[in-house]
Amino acid sequence: MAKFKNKVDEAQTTRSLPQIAKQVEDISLRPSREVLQPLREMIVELERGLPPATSGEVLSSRVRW
Amino acid sequence: METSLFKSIEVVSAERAFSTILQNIHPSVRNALQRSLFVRRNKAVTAVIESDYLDIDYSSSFFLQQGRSFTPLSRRTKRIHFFSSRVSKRHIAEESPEVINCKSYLGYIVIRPILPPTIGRTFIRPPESIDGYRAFCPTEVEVPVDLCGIKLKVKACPYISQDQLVMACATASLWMANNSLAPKVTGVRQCTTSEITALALSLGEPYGPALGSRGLRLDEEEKAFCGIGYDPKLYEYPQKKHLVEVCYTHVEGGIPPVLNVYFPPQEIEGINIEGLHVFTVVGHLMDTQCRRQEPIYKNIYGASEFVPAFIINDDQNGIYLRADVFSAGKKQKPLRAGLHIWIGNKKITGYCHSLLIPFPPRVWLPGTHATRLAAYWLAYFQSQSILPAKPLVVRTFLARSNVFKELLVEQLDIPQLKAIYRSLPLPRYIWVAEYGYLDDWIGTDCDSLVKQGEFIFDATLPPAVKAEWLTMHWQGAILVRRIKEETMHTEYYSIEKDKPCSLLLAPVRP
Repeated sequence: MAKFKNKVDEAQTTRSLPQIAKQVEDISLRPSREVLQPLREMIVELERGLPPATSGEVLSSRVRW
Repeated sequence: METSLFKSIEVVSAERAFSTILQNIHPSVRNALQRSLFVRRNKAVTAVIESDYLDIDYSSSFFLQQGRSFTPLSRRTKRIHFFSSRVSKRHIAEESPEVINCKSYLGYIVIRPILPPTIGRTFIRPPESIDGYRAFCPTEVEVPVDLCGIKLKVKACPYISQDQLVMACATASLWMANNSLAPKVTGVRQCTTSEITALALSLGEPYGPALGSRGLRLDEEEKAFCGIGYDPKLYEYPQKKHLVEVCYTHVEGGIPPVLNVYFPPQEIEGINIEGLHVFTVVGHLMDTQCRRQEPIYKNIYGASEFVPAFIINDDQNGIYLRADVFSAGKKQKPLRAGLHIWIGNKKITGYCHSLLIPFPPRVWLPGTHATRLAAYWLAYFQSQSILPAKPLVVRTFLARSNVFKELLVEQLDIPQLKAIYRSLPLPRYIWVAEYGYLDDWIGTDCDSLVKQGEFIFDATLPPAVKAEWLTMHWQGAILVRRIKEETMHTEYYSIEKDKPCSLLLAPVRP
């Protein structure tokens, strides 16, 4: 347990994060439209293949199951 | 020991139970039960019949229907327990643990006392394999059973068939999904079939067969789930690839999707099938030898890549049936995905109209979004040369964060990583996306698959286009986000002695 505490204390804080961590934080907190484009494309493709039932067509269906 | 005291108990061979008491139930349902009990490693040998069993579900519907008749009708059901050991009445009288134990116990079937007899609450242990494929049923639930004071338990996916009185197939499917989740999820309750129908129809009073048997509309299915306490999500006209992914991802986290399916006119075993039907997906088959080759993004694949078929519980056609998904032709539009449901060596074909996923309360982010968040970050790490540009496979599942930590304690042997995860405050529900190299997975035994790392996402977030994450672990390092004074702070740890490790076993509790 003591060993674990030391490790946590050694965690690198935001100021001294390695390059990759800073980049990740930037994307998470201050993303540009461009950088999120791949995620947007994936979600658009997902919603085309698996549309949430908000179109009303399915929900307004009066049939019984 | 006085065995004659146990008058309400009868012990017969398992085969005899099927040729007598279970003979008149629907042939497809009976055959599926037989396959589940006899086509397995530890086959059913003995059946113990409780003749005067008061079943909670049948009793609740009895008082809405038969209980109001002038002519007395029985409200007592028969419950049949199956064991893979040779059990006698003496063993029950003497409480012999070497014969009657959880290892040999295969579960029970309740038979309703109506004509023709139908199957009430049933919990039968899932098969280890179906058609030569490994079978996984992460939606199974541990059910405690009492047999004349002997405590038993069985892990099984709940099954029930409709009685055409207080319920149709939609209620039966909702009951199967609810009974699989309710014992595991805080904030939802176990409901009887009559309670589910009442919730769906917003009825606070007893109702008659005219209402109970006519089936539910989709909004009523949703309303029933909301009434029980879930945050359900409804999807329409799924494509084949997405139907496979959404079913796999949620089943893997213990959540059974409810599928609304249209059956064109067809016949099986002399019975005509046509119309609308609902069933519950309870598990999946796995085969790492064959692939679908349907990436989520660039060279990143979902683990559903290796799922040749699903396992469904269908109240009309039986328990633990294999369902293959295929792309529907243009003629079926707007329906886009079809299902071949195997009943023995015959199949029926239906088309998926919509699916309903009963998320535990406060879960907002669907698993398919979590997989895409993982794919986005993996592709980003590959572009930054943090990860090698090799094809990756992602396995996403929902977990209670405390169960995730318990699993780590039991299964992970990287002390530093384990301690970081354990020290981290997490939301009640998280999506865990484990990833490995596709080439390592192809052809590898399902029990020997390894992951290179895992990402964790907050399941209580809205599904927006935002690159959110809670932890990201790759070989040698981990990024975690801790909340301090209502803001997220990123921390980086390098992990000494990091190594690829086994996938976390499917959580029994989501």
